[in-house]
Amino acid sequence: MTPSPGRPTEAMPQFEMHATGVEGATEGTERMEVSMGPHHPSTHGVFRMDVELEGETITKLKPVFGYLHRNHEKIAESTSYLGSMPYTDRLDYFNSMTNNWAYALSVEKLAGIEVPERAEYIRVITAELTRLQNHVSLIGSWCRTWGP
Amino acid sequence: MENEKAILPEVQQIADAINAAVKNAGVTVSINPSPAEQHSLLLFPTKARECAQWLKAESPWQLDYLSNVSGNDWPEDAITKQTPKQPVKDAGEEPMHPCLEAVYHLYSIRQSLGPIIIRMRTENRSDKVELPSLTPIWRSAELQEREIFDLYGIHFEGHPDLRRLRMWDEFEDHPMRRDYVEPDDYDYEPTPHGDVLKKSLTQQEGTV
Repeated sequence: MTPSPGRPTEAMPQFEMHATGVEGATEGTERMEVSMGPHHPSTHGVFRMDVELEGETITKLKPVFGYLHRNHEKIAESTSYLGSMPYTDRLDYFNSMTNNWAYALSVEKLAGIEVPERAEYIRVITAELTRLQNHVSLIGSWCRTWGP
Repeated sequence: MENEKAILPEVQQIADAINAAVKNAGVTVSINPSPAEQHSLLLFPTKARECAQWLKAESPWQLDYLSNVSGNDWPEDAITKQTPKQPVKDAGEEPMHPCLEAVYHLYSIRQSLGPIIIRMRTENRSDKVELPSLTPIWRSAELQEREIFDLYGIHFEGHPDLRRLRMWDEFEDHPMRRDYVEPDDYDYEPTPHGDVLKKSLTQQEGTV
């Protein structure tokens, strides 16, 4: 396969682990390339990092995205403005209502629509509820990830 | 700028200031006829980095924050057929040519103003798709320019690491272009695991 222009040849990810001795390194230290994720518990399937380690020090890190790419813009091309509303809260499930709000704001700006005051109140209330559950989830996952 | 609207006289004022400060900048104002009224600055690609550097460092607006970079595709029929009553035109310019477009949304944190929108257009949609990368000026453009390269196929010259961001490396098309044809099914995705499998099979053969 011919590589597309602009794509460096070293773009292929390294799946093997290499352990090579580094000159001048202290005893017991070795350089290692690790492909961390996408099924590492901390990246839970959506993200990979190609990490270069020297002992326990990270010397190089290359993030690799796209494991959860659905291309919302492409889906939105073939649906209505209202039809792509449910996709916007799936972009970040901890900020679902505020993402809805952001999308609604941009559509309103595009179409020159003003919403009634009641709707503005409802938006503020839902955004605050979203913020609450977001912070509670954050504290919850901190407790889990930082360990006992 | 009140209500986040880029008011036309202000945008025109910025364009004039760039043209006065940067030699042969050739900046024009691109009118947005929709109710959003977000008018933007159309930069000339060869002078774009110079203009951007001036906007960030020396201009009175101090645009130090790049919020968003997005792509846009303008094929022939999007320009002529989709807006029959009001063909897409820039102020005082001839009708647009088919092109790919990169759009940058800029703010100033120090002066709390924005958004100021700048655009760059490629010469055509097939072989002359190069634009200068603005990553050396606003570092936050790096991943977003990679995404545009991936989905629209604009080649950003001077980008430090121009690889596909979303699609896998072996993918050959640009899915966000208007003339992209979707495959019948997405089941087959080549992954590097195929190579690993092949390698392990040859190793097994070697042992037998």
